[in-house]
Amino acid sequence: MALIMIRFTKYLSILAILVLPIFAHASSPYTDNFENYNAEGWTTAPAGATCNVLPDATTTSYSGSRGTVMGYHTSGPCAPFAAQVSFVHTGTDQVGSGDMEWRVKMVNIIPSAGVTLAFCNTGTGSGSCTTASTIGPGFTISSNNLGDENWHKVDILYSQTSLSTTTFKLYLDDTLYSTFDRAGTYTAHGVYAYSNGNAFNTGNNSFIYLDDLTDFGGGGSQGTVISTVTPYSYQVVGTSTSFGFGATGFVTPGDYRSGMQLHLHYTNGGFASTIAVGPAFADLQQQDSSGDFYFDITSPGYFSFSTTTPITTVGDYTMDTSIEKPLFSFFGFDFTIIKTTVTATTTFFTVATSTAFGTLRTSVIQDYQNFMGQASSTINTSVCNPISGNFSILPCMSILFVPQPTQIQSTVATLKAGILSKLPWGYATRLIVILSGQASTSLPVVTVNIQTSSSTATQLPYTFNPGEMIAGAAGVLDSTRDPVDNKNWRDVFGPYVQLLVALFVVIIIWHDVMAMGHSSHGPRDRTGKST
Amino acid sequence: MIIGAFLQIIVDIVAIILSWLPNVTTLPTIAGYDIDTALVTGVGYFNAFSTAVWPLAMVWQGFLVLMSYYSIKMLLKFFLGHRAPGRH
Repeated sequence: MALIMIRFTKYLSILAILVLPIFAHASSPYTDNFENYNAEGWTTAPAGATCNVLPDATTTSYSGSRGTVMGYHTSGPCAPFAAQVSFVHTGTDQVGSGDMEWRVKMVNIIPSAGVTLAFCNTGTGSGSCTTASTIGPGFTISSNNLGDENWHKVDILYSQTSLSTTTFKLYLDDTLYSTFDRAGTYTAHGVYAYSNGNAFNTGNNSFIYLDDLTDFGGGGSQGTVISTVTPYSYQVVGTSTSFGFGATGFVTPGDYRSGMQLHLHYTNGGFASTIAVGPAFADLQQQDSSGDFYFDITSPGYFSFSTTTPITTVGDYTMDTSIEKPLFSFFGFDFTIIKTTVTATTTFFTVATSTAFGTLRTSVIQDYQNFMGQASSTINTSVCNPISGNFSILPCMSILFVPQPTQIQSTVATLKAGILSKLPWGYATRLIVILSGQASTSLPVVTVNIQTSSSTATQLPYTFNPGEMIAGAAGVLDSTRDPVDNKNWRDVFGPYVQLLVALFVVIIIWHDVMAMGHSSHGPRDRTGKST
Repeated sequence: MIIGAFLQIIVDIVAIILSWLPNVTTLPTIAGYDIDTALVTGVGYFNAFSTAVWPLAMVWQGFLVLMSYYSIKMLLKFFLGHRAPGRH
């Protein structure tokens, strides 16, 4: 009995863990008017949350509930992640003219800055998206508010003419989260309002929101900030002829002024290295090297600049990154020579010579990132998640053990680049690549001057173009068709030629395989000696 | 995914072991004669000619299949030596 009680208690606690969030969710204090989300406590999130990623393909059915947390992180930088949420639209949700409408309120997220808001219709039931649209077709940015809240409102209209149950997915791509992936402090919210009709804010909405809780104070507005710099601080980077420099950040409309620039200045003086560069880099020595980059900031909002330059001088570098604007303007003219710094940051990085190990390490890491990226983007791994609604043992086993086509392609690409192309057998590989090439080259045109019979002094040029001859012959052959089946020569005789060639090849291989094991020096006797 | 990752690991390990070898991007030029360009141009001419004389393309494909077979056999002999199947 005690054992039964213990098990019962265990199952009860599991049930409580599963059910309690639903009640907590149902008692969400949010009201329907998301325009005042700040006043409604939209910034509430689980205590102690840091970087949390919403599980893929979270399906939520909405029938009046609201306020589902898609994902959040409270301290940066977090690794970029994708969040998505599914809407299950049931037939009874449809009202009005038959169009489904969503209103997406994106706070501190600017769609035109590389954000991908994708929307797809998965058809009936669950599954991966079959069609997807990014902002553009199907989306209408109805209004923008770049004031203190800095939000965009995107209305999505989807024509839903039938009353069938349909799953929609509205998700934010990785590129969106690159705007979150910054070390600065800010407040950002993606608020998604779902309206099952054409009446927003009429008490008929449901909400899903994405919350980022890092608050730098000041009521949720974001100041001008340099968010990320490349190379990041204290990074050890190998020398390169295309060394990457860059920065991302945000400029408020209040701080913006025409002539504003992002200034990157690097120099390898004044920084005593304390970094253990490890086996991946070597040859640390101080030399003089410095440079400057200027990028024009042409509008307020998010910016992202990058450039490459050869950095072959090893050493410890200091990089000063600043946002500068003209100190003053006079009768509308900006004096760009004298500038003042709006905000600035100083970082350090070390340039070293990559050892062979470092080069290998980089290539292997890149290789695996590609491999896993393909796996996550092309394989629906949710079928292996035992607590998701998509769990299915056979597809899961198939995914686990049967190599997927994209992964095989990745492996074959590595095989070609890393093994087959190496000296000396790389010559054979190159020969095979050339012989199996499908590109055709125009045949050479021959022009000769032929003396005419009427005049010995006159020579007329005659041009022979074999390409035109072949094209003409091919045209004649293809257009000559039999009157019954309307097939040309190739249609009729092609399969026979193919069969003949295939038979010939198979017979040769078969003969060769059958001859294996027999001596080419004549039959052997039982003692194994040739006779 | 597991087998795919396993194959990828094997290929990566072999690629790391062979990483010191230089990559071959083109066939060599011998005595001023660019073999790579000549072969590429020649195959291009052949492909252009095959657009009209289509049986040639099929015969060529058969030839390539046959050569692939012999190449695999040569590789087996190279790695397995006298233990490879076939005439010795």
